[in-house]
Amino acid sequence: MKANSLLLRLAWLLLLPACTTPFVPVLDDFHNLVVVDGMVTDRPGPYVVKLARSASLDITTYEPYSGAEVFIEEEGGGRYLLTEVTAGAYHTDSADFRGQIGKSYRVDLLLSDGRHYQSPFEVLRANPGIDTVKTVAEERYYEELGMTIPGYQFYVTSNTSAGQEAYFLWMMEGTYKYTSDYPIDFVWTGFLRAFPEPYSLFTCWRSYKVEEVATANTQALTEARVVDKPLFFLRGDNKFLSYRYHLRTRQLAVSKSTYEFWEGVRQQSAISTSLYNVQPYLIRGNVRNVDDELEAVLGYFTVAGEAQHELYLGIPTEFEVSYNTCGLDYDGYRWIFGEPASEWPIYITLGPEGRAIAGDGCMDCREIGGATRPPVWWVE
Amino acid sequence: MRLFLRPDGWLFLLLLWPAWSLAQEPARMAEPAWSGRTWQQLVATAEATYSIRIFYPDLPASQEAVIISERVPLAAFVQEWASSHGLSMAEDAQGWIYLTEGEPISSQIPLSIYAQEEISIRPDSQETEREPFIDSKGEFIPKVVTVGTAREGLGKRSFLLTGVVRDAGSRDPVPRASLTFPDLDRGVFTEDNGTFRITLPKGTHRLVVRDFGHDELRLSVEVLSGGDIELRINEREIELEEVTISSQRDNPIQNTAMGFERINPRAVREVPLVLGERDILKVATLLPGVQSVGEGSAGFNVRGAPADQNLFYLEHIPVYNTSHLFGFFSAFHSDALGGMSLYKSNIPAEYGGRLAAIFDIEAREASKDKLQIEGGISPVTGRLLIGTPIRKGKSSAMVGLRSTYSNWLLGVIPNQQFNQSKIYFGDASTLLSFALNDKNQLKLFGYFSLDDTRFGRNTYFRNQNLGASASWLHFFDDRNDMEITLVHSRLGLEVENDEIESEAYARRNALFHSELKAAATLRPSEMHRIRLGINSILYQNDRGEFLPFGQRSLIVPVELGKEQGLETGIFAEDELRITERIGVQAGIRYNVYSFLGPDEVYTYEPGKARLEENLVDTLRYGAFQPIRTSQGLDLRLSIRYALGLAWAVKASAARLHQYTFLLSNTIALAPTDTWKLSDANIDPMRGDQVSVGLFGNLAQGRYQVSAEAYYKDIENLVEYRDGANLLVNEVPEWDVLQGRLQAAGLELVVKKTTGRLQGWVNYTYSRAIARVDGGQPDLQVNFGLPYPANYDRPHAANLVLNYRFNRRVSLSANGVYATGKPITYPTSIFFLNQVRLVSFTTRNEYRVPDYLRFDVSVNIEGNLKAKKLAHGSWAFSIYNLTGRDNVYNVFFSSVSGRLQGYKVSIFAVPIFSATYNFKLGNYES
Repeated sequence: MKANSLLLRLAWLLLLPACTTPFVPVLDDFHNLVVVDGMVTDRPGPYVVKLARSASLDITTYEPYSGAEVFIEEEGGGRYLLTEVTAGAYHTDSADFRGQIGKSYRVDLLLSDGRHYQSPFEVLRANPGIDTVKTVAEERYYEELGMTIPGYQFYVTSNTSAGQEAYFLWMMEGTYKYTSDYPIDFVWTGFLRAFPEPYSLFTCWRSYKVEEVATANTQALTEARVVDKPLFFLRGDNKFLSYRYHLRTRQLAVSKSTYEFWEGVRQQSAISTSLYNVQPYLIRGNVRNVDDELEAVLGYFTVAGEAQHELYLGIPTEFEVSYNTCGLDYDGYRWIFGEPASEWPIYITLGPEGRAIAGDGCMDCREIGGATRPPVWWVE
Repeated sequence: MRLFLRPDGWLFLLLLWPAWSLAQEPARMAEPAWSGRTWQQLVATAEATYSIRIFYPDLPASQEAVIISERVPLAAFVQEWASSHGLSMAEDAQGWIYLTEGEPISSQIPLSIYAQEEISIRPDSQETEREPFIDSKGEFIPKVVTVGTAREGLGKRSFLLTGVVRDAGSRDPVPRASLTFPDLDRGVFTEDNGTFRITLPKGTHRLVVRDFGHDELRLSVEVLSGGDIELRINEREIELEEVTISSQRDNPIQNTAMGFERINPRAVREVPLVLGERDILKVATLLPGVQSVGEGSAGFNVRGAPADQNLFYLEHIPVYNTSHLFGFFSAFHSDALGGMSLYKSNIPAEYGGRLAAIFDIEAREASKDKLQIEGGISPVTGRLLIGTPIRKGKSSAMVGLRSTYSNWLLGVIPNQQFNQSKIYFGDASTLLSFALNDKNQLKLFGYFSLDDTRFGRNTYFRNQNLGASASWLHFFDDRNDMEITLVHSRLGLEVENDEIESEAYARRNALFHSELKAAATLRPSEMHRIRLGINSILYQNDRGEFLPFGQRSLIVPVELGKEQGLETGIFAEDELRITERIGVQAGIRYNVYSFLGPDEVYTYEPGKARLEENLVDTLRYGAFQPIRTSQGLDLRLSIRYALGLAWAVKASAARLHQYTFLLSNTIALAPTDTWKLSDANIDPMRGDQVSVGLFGNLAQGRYQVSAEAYYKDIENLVEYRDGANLLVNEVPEWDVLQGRLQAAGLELVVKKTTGRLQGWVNYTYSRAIARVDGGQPDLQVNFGLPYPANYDRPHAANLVLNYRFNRRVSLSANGVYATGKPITYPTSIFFLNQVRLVSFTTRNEYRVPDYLRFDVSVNIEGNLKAKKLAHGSWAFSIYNLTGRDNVYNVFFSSVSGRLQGYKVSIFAVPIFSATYNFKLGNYES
C-alpha cells in the first residue's frame, strides 16, 4: 500500500482537499559514482560490461570510463578479457566464452586511473522458462495527469523451478510498428521539389527498453512458480498500440542477493519515498573497490540463467487507442525559404488547405526513433 | 502603585503558612522602638521581623515618620495608619497585609482582627441536603456546608471528609489547590484529579481554599459524620495589580518536576478544532518538545525519540493505537477525559517500559449527585456522554460514546471507488466509580476503540483496542494510601490487501497486555512524599498469520508465532523539600524482564551478524520457560533550587529501559506496523536523559517562563537493515540492527495563565541523530555514518492564544511552525541494462520545506439563563487559515523519461468546520 495514494484516497473519502503538485527540490551536491553494468548468462554472448559515472538528475549525458581492463573470471577456470567496442562498453568474444549453468563467475576490472574493482563469484542458475505472458485491458489513474488512461497490463507466469527457492528478474524490450501522421509530398533543401516516394518515411518500427524491472521470488509461495506477476502497464494513449506491438520478455534466474539488489532498485524507482514505504537508501551493488571497501559503487554484475518469451499484439479491441496527431502549419510553409541549411530537409505535405509543414516526427517517422525497416525477426 | 518585594521567607511561607501563621500570630506586635522611622522603613522592619509582607499604595505619607507609643498588635497599628490615610486593609491567614484605596480586597478577610464573630454558623445547618456549590465571589460571610448526618456521627469523634475542587466555570478539577483548616492547623492539597481527603473532628471548622488563578474561597464546614463535598472556585477574573497569591504546589518554581505538562479538558476546548473534533493530543503537540509525525500519520515524537518510546495510559489501560483513521483523529473522546499528565523528562519511577514519555490520561468521573448528559455533532462524528449517580453521593457511572456517522455519504456519491469504500471509526469508554466506605474506593473502567476502513475493493484495515482496568484505592489515614490496579488490554489489527491477485494477503495480529500494579503513597509530612510499589506486565504478542487472500493468491500461509515476556518493576520514589529553597525528588526502579517460552531461538556465530548464513543452532524452550532475562536499574533524580521569590533552577537525570518496540522502517508509522518484544537476540533499549532548566514567575505570576535544556542518549536503538521487509517477517532479528540515538534540545516557553487573554508561546531547538555501526558492512545502516532521525526537526515554535470576550464568546488561535522533516532524495541517475535507475543520497540528507499553519476558532455559548433544560454551544473553526500547502511528503515519478518530483499536501486550503455541543442543564452545569 502506497501512503500517497492511501492518503489521497482517504482525503477524498473525507471530502478533504488534498493535492499533488510538481515540486523541484533544491539539491546542492551531486554524487559522481562509478557505475558498473554487466551481465553474464547462459545464452550466447557477447556479454557486455559497461562502465560509466553516475549523472545528476537533470543531466542525461552518458559519461563512460574508457581504457579500462575488464575481465570475466570463472571460479577455478578461465579469465576472459573483454574488449572496448564503443566508449565504456566492453564485450566478450562470443566464440571464446559462453556462460554455463552451475559455474560461478565474477567481474574484475581496473580503471585507467588505477582503481581496482571486483564482484564476488556468483553461480549461474538454471532458468525454468516462461509459461505465458498475457495482457489484461485495465485502466490506470495517473495522479500527475489527474486522469485515467486505458492500456494493457502485462502479466508473466513462469514454469516451475526445480529448486524450492527461485529468484527472478524480468526485463522487457518492446518493439512497435507505427506511422507518421502525413505523407511527404515535397521537400525543401534550398529548393523545392516533389518527394519521390511520399510514403517511404511513413511507416517505422521502433524498439525500446521498458523502464521497469519486475522481480519476484518463490520464498513465500507454495510452488516454486510465479503466477500472473504484473510486469508493466502499457498505456493506450500513444502510438505503441496503433498497429502492432511486440514484447520480448527476458526472465533471469538469479541469486538471492542479486534479487535483493534489483528488488531494492525497483522499489526505489517505481515511486520512491512514499511515506509508508520503506526508507529509500543508497543501494550499493556487488562490485567493490578492492582497496577501499567503503567506496560506494553503483550498478551490478549479474550472473543469471536466462529464458525469453515473445508476444505480438494487434490493435486492441477492448479499448480505443487515442493519441494526438500533428497539427498542420500552413502559415509556416511560407517561411521555410528563409530557414538555414542546418534545418534542411524540410518536409511539406499537402493538407486540405494546401501545402503545410508540421513538427518533428509528423512526416518522417524516423524522427521518433524508429527505422523504416522492421527488425529481422519481426513477423507481420 | 508600588510593590515591595522581599525575597526572604517567601517560599518558606508558601510551604508552611498554615501552621506558621497560627503559631506566630500573637507574637506579631508593633514595637515602640520603631517610632521615628518613616512608614516605609517601618514596613521593611516589620516584614523582616515577622517574615510577612505588607503591600500599600505609594503615598506621600509613606515618607512621613510614625510614632508608636505602646506595644500593640501590628495589625491593629497598621489598621489605624490605613484608616487615617483613607485606605482599606485586608489581611490573609498568613498575616500578609494589603492596603488598598477604596474597598478592601475582596475575599481577603482580616482574620486576626475580626476573628470568630464574622464566621457565623447558620442555625439551620443540620439540614441533610447539603449545598454542593459555594460561590465565594463577593461574599464576605462564609457559607456553612454541612457534611453527613448527626445520626451517622453518633458516638464517633472524627470523620473522613472527601471531595473535589472544581473550577466553577469549566467544571474542570483543580489540581494542587490547597485546603486549609486554620482552626485545626490542618491542610491538604488536591490531587491531579482535583480530589482531596482529610480526617476532621466533629464540629464546625473554617476552611480556606486557595489556588493560583482562582479566587480564594472561604467557608465553614460542619462535620456531623463522614462525607463527600464538591467545592467550586471562581477563576480570578479581575487582576489585582498588587498581589497574586500563589499557594499552588503545581507552580513550576515550587515543585521539582521537569518536562512535566498537565492538560485539562478546558485547554482542549480552547484550542481550534480539526474537522470539528476536539483532540487532547492536538494540545499535546502544541507543547514544546512534542511533535506530531504529520497529518495523516499516527504517533508523536517527544524530545527527539521515535514514537514507540511513548506510552499512553488511559485510566491505567495502555493504549497502543492512539489514533483513528491513520492519525487524522485522536482515539480519545475528549469529553470523557478528566485530564492528561505528560512526563517527558524525569518520568516518575512508578512508570517504566518507555524511554521518551508517559501520557497518563484520566477518564472523567461522573458526578455522584446528578445526571449529566453532554454531546455534540461535528461534520465527521457524533458523540454523547452520560454521567449518572448509581447511589447518590456514593457511586456513579460515566459512559462516553463517539462514532462516525457520515459513512452514508460514501454510498450516495456516484463513483465506484467511493461506493466500495467504507470509513468507520468509533470509541466507547465507561467509568464506574464507587466510594465503598470512608477508607475504600473502587473504580472500574472499560475502553473500546474500533477502526474499520476499506478503500475501494483492494485494501481493508481493521484496528481494535479493547481494555479494562479495575483499581482499588485504600486510605490508611488521611496521609497514607494504597492503590491496587488490575489491567488487561488487547490491540488487534487485521489487514487484507488484494491489489495484486497472486500476492493478495490477509494478515492479523494481536498484542495482549496484562498488568498488575500495587503502589502506596506515604506522606510523613507536608514536605515529604514517598511513593513505592511494584508493577508487573505480561506481554503476550500474537504476531499473527500471513495468509493467502482469495482464490488466486499464491501466498504461502505463514504463522509468525506468539511470543511472551514478563516485565516487572519495583519502585520507590521520595519527594522531599529539604529547605524552603531546596527540593529533591529521587527514585529508583528495578526492572526484571524475561522473554518467555514457548519459542524456538536461533543462535549465531559470535561476533557475526545475526543472519541466516551465520546460524549455529536452534534452541527450543517450553511454555513460560525464561529464555533470556535482563535486569536494569532505572534511576531518577531531580533537584530544585529556588532563586528568590520568582525563580527556580532545576536539574534532573533519568535512566530508563524499554522492552518492546514497534517493527517499523517506513518513513512515517504505517498502519500495518506491529509491536515486537525484545527477545533472545534483540536487546532491550536503554535511555539516559539529563536536563537543566530555569523556571520563573513574572508579573506576580501572571506569566510563567521557562527554559529547559536536555541531552538524551539511547543505547540499543532498534533500526533495520536497508530495505528490510517488515510486513511479513518471520525472523525479525535478521533485519534488526541496533544502534545509538543522541538527542539534545532547548525549550523556551512563555505562558500566560490568568486574565481574559491566556495562552503560550514556545520555541524549541533540538536535534536527534542516530548511528548504527556494528563495525562491518552487514551491521551498518547508512555505511555506519551518523544520520538525522526521521523526526529531527531543529526549529519548532507554537503559539496558542485564547481570548474570552465574555462568558459566552471566546476566540482561540494557534500557530505551528517546524523545520521540514528530513528526507532522502534521489540525486543521481545511472543506467543498468539500459534501464534508468536512481541513486539516493545518504540517509536523510535533505529536508522537505518548512511547516507553517495557523488555525482559529470561535466558541459561542448559548444564553446564560439559570433555568433551562439544556444548554447548547457552537464551535466554528478554520484549520489552516492561510491555506498554505504544507508539504506532507515528496515523491518522485518518472514522466516521459525524466524524474519529476511531486509534493503531496493535505489540508492545503482553509478548512471550515462547525460543531454543535449540548448538555443537560444551564451554562454552569
